[in-house]
Amino acid sequence: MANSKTLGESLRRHGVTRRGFLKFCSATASLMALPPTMVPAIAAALERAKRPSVIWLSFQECTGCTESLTRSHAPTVESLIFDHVSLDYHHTLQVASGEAAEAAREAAMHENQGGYLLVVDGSIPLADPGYSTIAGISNVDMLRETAAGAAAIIAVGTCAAFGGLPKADPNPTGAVPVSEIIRDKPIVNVSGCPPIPVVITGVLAHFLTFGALPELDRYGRPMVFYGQSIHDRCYRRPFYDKGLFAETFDDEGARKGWCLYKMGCKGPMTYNACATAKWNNGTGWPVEAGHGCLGCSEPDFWDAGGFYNALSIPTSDVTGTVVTGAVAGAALGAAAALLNRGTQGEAREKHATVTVDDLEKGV
Amino acid sequence: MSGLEAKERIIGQTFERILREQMQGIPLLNHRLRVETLGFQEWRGRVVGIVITPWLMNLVMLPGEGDDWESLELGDKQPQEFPSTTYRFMVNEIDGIGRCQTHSLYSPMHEFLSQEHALAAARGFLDTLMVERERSEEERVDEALLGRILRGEETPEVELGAFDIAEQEPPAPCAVAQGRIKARLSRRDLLRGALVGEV
Repeated sequence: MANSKTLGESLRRHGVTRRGFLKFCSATASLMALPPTMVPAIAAALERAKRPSVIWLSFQECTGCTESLTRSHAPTVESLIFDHVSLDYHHTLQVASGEAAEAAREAAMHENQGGYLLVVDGSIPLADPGYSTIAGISNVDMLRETAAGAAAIIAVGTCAAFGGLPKADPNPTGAVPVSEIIRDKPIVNVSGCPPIPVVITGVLAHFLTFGALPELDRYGRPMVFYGQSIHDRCYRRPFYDKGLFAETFDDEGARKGWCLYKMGCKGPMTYNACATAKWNNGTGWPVEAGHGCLGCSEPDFWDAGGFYNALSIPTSDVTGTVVTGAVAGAALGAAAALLNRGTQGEAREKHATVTVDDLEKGV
Repeated sequence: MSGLEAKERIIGQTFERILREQMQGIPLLNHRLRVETLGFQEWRGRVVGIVITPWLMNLVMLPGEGDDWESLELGDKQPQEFPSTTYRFMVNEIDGIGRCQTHSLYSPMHEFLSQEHALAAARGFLDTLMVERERSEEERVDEALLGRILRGEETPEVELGAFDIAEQEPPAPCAVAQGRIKARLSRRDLLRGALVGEV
């Protein structure tokens, strides 16, 4: 069964080379801002980690999230980790169908009670549970039942994280994200339409190594990937600074690589790691291909006023503005000072709370 | 007027011109703000300070004598060390200022309710920028390195021998499994091998 083998045994059995494994450990170390000297310790932790049972539920979704993950070119960190978790249930990838498939889900839940990872893609319809069912079970029922015994939940894609496309105005199915139904489990939102594959596996790697989830932002997304805006990471940023904007897709500005804000780029309001991780085997990302960012990793991106309209107010920051207003007088100095301390302090705080007990019970 | 003041003034005037000539009608502007510079000072032979505009708040650095920034690619990120921490600056070029490096503090600027609000944030930043701080071994994520590893462009140099640690049998009985280590595990301890029961 899933827990009878360690990750290390599984890797060896599948002929994964030392170099391949080291590459994975190196990426994990880098992901967690740890120095290369940490790689052996991570290797040791991963070696002895039990292969986690993963149950993957797909609700109102388009399978784009699974496509994103499975189309990442081999041999990658992504495939390496995904070959070696015990993916016990996944609509699209599993061989079993019908009652056998549901039996597999129930068996995995039963045998790994309290210890399995639940991955969800797609939103959940609440207007009428009958809008989306699997084997006659409504999405909301299946989510509640499966989440009850999960160690943690990874909401993959903007639909599971924020409601996504099904929730777009007028939200005919009453779609909601996972976090509106499940309140008592740790949830990581890996948003994006689709999300960057390595973010999904990065969260898994972190969980396997430390038995805990990574540091999250206010939307429950891993800070390491969603801590900076597309705009702040963008190589076209110098043109924004000095007010040089492309106005159409074929004007002089577009040819010279100027800022795409006026053509609707949502980079200033969008937090994701596209510029770092890139897409299509690392060949590029939307802005590099000459098209503005759609803002797909932000809540309600579909209703943000049109992909080609320049926005005046960041969609996701409206409440933030109100809060800032209320506390502006008192908190100014403190907030500004925080800028300097930034991520390091938060990361340190996060990791200081990882205990050996957490590591043990995590997997 | 000192050289420093002259440079600061040029930066302010340049961004005022950009606001006038380039930014009119941009819906992202925060009209409660105006162009203002502050905190300009010399740091390791280079001039550095903050510029506030309705569309951004940047830390701006001008090249010192002997700096050749012409050969750097526009948009590339360069680490710049300060007493508080290391900031990644972007190679920039602005008419009137020339080659410079900028680090984005805020953009867009919608969260600021007034010029005074933005100034307070800038002053708060400057107050701690030059304060010496103990550097730990834990640095922030090197995103560029992570990107290269993930794209398979770089494998960090790790001795393959290090891998042997991972292949060794755990000390029996494994201290971790026996629950003998009850203390919280810090990253420093992990670095020293607490996870594999070698502390």
